[in-house]
Formats: sequence, C-alpha cells, structure tokens
Amino acid sequence: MVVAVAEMWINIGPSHPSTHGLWDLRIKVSGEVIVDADPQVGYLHRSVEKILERKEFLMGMPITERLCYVANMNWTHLYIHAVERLMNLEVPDRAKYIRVIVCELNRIASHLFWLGAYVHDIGNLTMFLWPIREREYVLDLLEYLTGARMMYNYPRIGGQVKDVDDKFLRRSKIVCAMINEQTATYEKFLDNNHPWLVRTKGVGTIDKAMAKNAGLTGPSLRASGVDYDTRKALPYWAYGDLDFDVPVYDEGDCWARYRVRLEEIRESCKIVRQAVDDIPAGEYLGKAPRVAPKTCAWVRHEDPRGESMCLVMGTGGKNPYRVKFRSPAFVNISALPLMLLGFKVPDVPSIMGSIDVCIGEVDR
Amino acid sequence: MADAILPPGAPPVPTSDTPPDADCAALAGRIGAAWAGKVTEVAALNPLNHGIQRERNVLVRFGSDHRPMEAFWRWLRDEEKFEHCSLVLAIDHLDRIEVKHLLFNYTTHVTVETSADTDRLEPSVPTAALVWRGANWLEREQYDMLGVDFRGHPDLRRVLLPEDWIGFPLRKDFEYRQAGEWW
Repeated sequence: MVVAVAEMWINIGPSHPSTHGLWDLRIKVSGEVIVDADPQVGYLHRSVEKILERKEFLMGMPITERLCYVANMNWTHLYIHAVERLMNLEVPDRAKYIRVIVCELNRIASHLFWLGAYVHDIGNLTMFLWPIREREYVLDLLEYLTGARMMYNYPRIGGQVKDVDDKFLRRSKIVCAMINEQTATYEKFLDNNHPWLVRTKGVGTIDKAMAKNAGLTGPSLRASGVDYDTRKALPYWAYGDLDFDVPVYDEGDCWARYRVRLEEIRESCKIVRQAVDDIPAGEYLGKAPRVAPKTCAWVRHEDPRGESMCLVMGTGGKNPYRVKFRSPAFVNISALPLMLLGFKVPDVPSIMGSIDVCIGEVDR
Repeated sequence: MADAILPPGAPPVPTSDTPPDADCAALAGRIGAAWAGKVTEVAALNPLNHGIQRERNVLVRFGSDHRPMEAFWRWLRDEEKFEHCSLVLAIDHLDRIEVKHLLFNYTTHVTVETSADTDRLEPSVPTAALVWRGANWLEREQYDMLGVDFRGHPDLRRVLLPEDWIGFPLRKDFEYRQAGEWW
C-alpha cells in the first residue's frame, strides 16, 4: 500500500518565542520529519557597515556596540582592535589585561543568558531564572565600571576610557568564584534531568567534517570535536600569558553544545581570576592618531558565538573606506538546515536555540 | 586612478622587516611552484606587530583570468587542508571591484587571502560555495551589498535586503532614493 505523505512549508518566526530575535526559519516537513529548511534573516538590518563609512573611527564605536545586545563588549573591542591594527598601534600592557577581564566577564554574561533562554526553550522553567540571576551580578560589575548596564562605550583607540580600580578587581574575583560554584549547580540540575537529556542528546547532530566545511565556529564547532579557539591559536592582548583550557566534545549534538558553553563559563572565570592577579600597573590609555593609512587590516577574535572578524580599510584620512564584519551567528544560521534534516518538528526549538543566535549581529 | 588620491597629511602605510613564519613561507613556495602562470602574485606577508595579534598570512592574487580560481580553492582544501572559509568580502575601488576570500587552516593557523579584481559594470568571479559550504551565505551577502555575481553559486539570492530592493548599497555611488519605496 502506498501512503501519500503531504509536504508543506512551515514558518517558525519571524515572531516566535524560540527565535530569540527577529528571524524566520522556514522548514519543509513531510509528515513530521523535516526534509528541507530555509532560514530567512534581514529583518533587523541597520546597514552598520555603510554607516561606519561616513563616521570617524571613534565615532563609529558606539554603533558597533549595537551589533550584538548580549555581547556588546566583545564587538566594540573587535572594531577598536581592527582600527588599532590598521594604525599599527599597540595598547599598553595594563589595557591589554583590562580588555581581557571585561571581555571575559561579558562572555560569562552572554553564556549565562544563553543558558537561561535555552533551558526555557526546552521547557525547563525552573532553571530559566537561575543563570539570569547570576548574570545580573556581572552586569552590576560592568555597570560599576562603565556606568551603563548594556551599552558600555568602554574602549578607546589606544586603550580604555577609564582605569579599573581595586574594588572592581576584587569584586570580579568574588563574582567569578560565585559563578564558578553555581555552574556546578546547573550541571547537577541538568545532567540528571531526564526530559532535558531526551530533548538534547543525539538531537541536531553534525559531524566534524561537515561542521568544518559548513563554516561553524566557536562552541558549535568545538562541540563537533574540533579543538580550535582563536584565543589559543592566534592570541591577542594578554591571552597568550594566561592559562586556560579549551573544552572539546565529540558528540556534535545539542547536549555537547550546552556542555561546551557551560565549561567555557568556568574557563572564563579562570581567565578573569588570573588576569586580576597578574594585571600590571601603568598606563591604561596610550596616544593614538586620528588618521589611518590607506591600507587594509583585519583581526580575528573569539566571540561568545564563534569566530568574529573585522576588516577595516582606511582612506588615509579620518574615516574608513570599507568596514566588514564577520558575524559568527550569520554563518552558523546558514548551517542550520544541515542540523535539522531528518529530525522532527518538536526538535526544532532545541536545535535552533543550540547555536546561540543573536540577530543584531546576524543582520548588522 | 582612485589609488593615487590621498588626503593631505595621510600617514604612510606601515611596513615591516620581520620575516614571515616558516609555515607561511613554505606554503607560499608550494603555491608558487604548483600554480605558476595562473596566479599573478604569491607572497607570505611580513607580520607587522605581533603585540597586536600574531599574523600568519599568505596573499594570492589572480589576474584578469579567473578560471583557475575554483581549481585553486579545491587544491587548497584537499591538498593543503584549508578547511574553513572565514570571510568573503568585496570592496568597491571606484574603478574596479576587488573580491577577497579569506581561507583558514585549523592545524597550522595560516590564513590564505585570495584576491581577484573584476570589472565594475559586470562584476563576476567564480564561486567558492561549492568548495566550502560556509561560503554560501557569505557570498550571498556580498551579492546583496555590492552586486558581485558569483558564477556557479547554487543559491544566489538577496539575504539581508528585501528581494525587490533596487541597487547595491555598499557601492560608493549608491543613492538611497534609488531603492524605491523601501528607504
């Protein structure tokens, strides 16, 4: 007997609780099995790259902060770092350590926020509030330092706008110790949680060769067994002097991606602790020119979502000729169809949440 | 042409005497030997300042003949294990459009930058999306923003802008009024 199975396209989004932003995942289902997928992005496009061409280098910095509303510290530092590379300008040692501390604190906040939102997607509403609660402590720290809870405007070309004080450093260590302890609580709660394991283990698998070819980066790549972290491979700022591990899992499923992020929170706590202990005294802001030579320069960073890159081309004057951002989540979303094929409709929220999209940076 | 125009007081382009890494120099030698005549320039770049970030870059430039590009990319992926396409970008130089592909090796951490110039009226280069799936959306975005036609691309549609958008915003002569009702 031949059973006719109807195929149809379903739009998940643009406004859906599990999209976390404004994008649209179109999936084609045959019965309940996903046979094709076509993500649609661009609802939040603000033409950041075009706007930056009209601004002086420093004037563009606050706009790059709006690229990602969860990891803004990482994105401003990426842009400022690329401009410094263009000017061939090295920042003072103290500024390098300050940058490591604030970017790692921001990474912890970003991963905690992802964890809270992701367990909420899976349906675990108890766990939702725990990481969000701990994230507030990190935001309080950064608010104490910069005066803002989300949009920090903290780096400047050649250093930082303000020095860190002892109170901030002392509190960073306390908060990191507390979060490090809390990750054990999350772990205990989730790894013995049967519904959580059923909905993440073996779901959304992507193998090592495919993950590399599809351009996955960051925690999603390391969850597929590739031991690559830009902070380790091509160290910038003070990362070369600090001791930390790169968590790698071979499973390539949603559970492995959760494990990688959870362990990255611990590694970030470790980095902050060391950087606070080792931070040298001295200048925090060097002298910087206002103009950049007519050439091209780019840097590679490890963003909470993956490998972010910024390429800046100068005109010889005060503003850039071309700015290009590589958004890790943009490429990760393009690999989503590979993870979805063959899985069923109820698996969609756990797969689309597991790559940690931030639509601000995808659409730019 | 456009390259010669510099504003007054423009700083000089920084240079460096630091020799490139052994991996980069060896790779540049292998590319030069295997692809002589097909590429116009191969250079292991002198790193500027390791205090900013360690640089391990090889530049490969193609001339007006773009036909060997796809074979070169396949060679780079299969023989040299460049498994990651990091970035695709196009730059509007007013007299030409330059398309760059940044390719990355996960073991040696070397980046190869392939660069090809194309005509500004009908910009077109071969696609890397059949070699690296990750290049698919990166190339779609450059088509969207600068109108570069990546020949052989499996799915060359606009990605960030609406499908009925008129014009290519990251070109230097783009006027927002030409985009129709959307602006």
